Amino acid sequence: MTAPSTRRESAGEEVSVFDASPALRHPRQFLADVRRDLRVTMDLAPQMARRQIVARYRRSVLGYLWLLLVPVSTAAAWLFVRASGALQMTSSGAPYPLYIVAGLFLWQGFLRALNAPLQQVNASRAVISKIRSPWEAVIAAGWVETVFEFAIFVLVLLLAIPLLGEWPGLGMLSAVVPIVALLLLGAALGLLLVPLGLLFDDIPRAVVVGSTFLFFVTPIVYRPPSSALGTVTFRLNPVAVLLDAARSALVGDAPVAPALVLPWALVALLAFVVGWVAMRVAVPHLVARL
Amino acid sequence: MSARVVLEVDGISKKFARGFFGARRSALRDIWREIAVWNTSPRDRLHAAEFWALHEVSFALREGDALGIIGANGAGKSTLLKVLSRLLKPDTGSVRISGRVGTLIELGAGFNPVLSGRENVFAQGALYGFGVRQMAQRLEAIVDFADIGEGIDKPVQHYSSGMRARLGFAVAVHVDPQLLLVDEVLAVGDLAFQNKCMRHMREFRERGGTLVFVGHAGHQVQAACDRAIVLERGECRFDGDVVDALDYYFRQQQSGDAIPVTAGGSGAALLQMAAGNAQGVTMGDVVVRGAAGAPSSGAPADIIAPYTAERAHPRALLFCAFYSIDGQRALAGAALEIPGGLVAGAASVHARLPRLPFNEGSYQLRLALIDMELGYPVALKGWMDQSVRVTVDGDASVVSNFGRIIDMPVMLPVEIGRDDAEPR
Repeated sequence: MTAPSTRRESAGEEVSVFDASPALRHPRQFLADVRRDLRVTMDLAPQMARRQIVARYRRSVLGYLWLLLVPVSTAAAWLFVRASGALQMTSSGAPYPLYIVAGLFLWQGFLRALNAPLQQVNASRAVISKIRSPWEAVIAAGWVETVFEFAIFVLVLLLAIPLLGEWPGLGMLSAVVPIVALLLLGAALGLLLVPLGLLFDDIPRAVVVGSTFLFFVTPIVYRPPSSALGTVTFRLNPVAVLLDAARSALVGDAPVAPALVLPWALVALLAFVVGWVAMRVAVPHLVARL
Repeated sequence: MSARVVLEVDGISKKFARGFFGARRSALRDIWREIAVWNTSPRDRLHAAEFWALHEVSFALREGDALGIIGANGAGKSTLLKVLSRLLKPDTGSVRISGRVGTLIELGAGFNPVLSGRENVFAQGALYGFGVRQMAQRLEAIVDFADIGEGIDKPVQHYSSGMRARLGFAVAVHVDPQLLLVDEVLAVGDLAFQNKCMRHMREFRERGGTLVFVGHAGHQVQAACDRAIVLERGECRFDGDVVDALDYYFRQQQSGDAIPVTAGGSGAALLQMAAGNAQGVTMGDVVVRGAAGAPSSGAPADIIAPYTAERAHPRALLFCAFYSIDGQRALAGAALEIPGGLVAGAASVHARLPRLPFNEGSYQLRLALIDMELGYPVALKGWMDQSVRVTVDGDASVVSNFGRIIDMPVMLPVEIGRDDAEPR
């Protein structure tokens, strides 16, 4: 079992001492504990994720095929739209159906990374309130699943690109940084929501409302606006900046604000670290109320 | 004792908040205190709606020790165990543990119903922080201990609760704990499994393991531990030998109960008979006493029932019934013809039990004076009014604890002999 504030005595015997003082008051100890739990997490999260996926599809006839059906059906729908000529938007850049499919897939990745922490903790409520287990591993298992599913989305997208538009060439590799930053941003927001989300049922509801709002104010199914107001809100919206940069690289467009990708990526990283620390210190107090 | 100290608990307290909103407020406050590291004010003050779920509990355990934790519901037993297993952070005090801790708070809590028992062994192991390889090494021993045969490859949703418990216990004890925390998990599972667990815990202690055992079932605490603490509203009220601790606990439980005034269902018929049959007989304060004051278990006891009657009832019966202290169950009784019947005026009936068969504890006594010619009671005591409380003394012993554990208040006066000799 993992034990923060655990140190080894000369005899090699594990000794853990714990009291009421805040964990952050002993930063060196705190970091040592984080490192230790991180090691455990790296080991456990993938096997937990694998087991979750196995369990999820065990009782279905189509099984893992469902993982593929969601993105394939989305792409197929837009293939149909394109073929039927129902949507004729004349603008520069990538064909609109491809633009939308790529946007939707990236948005899905972001949203899943955001929802994973609270979902994971809620799903294992019964266990983590009874066995002292690394929450990091439980949460990270959700992200492993997110990344796995997102990889399938990307795979489907890569197959759909020649059907919906043109192959952008090696330039698409520059999508990696904004994609990682986008998922990290979702993960960070999700982590920050864990302590409050377990105490206030408003949070999961607010996430549903908020993400719908965000979906429509972010240029996902429409092109980035060119008005003054639109430009400012676009730049202030990290999801818009990162998603646009990733999509542009994937479909061969020119990104709107490439200079803002790195700053927003750093903010996402910072938020992730803060969320991680907040979750760690809050856990023992949340367990009491689970 | 020279054995190494494994667990040292020093003045730990844990406060909880009543009510949903109070709990949330105190959670936010606690989390804020984790962030506000500059705030060093102590946490020993209670805010509104808060109470001590645990207060200033201290003890130390060495290798091979076994401590029982006894207490009524809500006394803080599980909270203490959760603090020891580091699920909860104490508000004051500190805990020092050497070695790995195994927790059995709920057997098979984390089982995924869709996955097979085998897959769940690995999943549970992961929750304890064990990787695939480490669990693979233990798999055989776990399957062996759980003894669920072919079931190990079936989905856990098809397990009986006993199988589930067996597998859960097997996993938890095979993660090599030095300190095992057990929270009355043995209530599930059949007797054979319970015995196996008790045996395992004994062997665990013999190997130098340390055990903390929470139990409602007194006999398990008595069998598993040699020392126990009694918690009452979060405070440690007794710390000592397990037999004495259980004795203390039972005594506390009984003295705490108020005697219900209304009679249980079994008195209803009698009451109906008596209703509307006022015969001018009333009973006074009934006294039950032994040779040296309070009646004691196995010794002679006297029941003295004063009465006043407007007229004589030449053929009368004294009916007495001992009830459990909650008044729900009649335990034993007697009906005896009163020599000479009831006389007019004030007098009293004197009855003697040569050997009081009740175990130590408190009981309710209800009495009736029955006119044999009329065929119904003419006076009642304790059926509709306050009954007579009888507190029986006795020495604390394993036997008397057993009587109380299985909730058996009456000891039959039996004489025993060898096969080759006639019982005297």
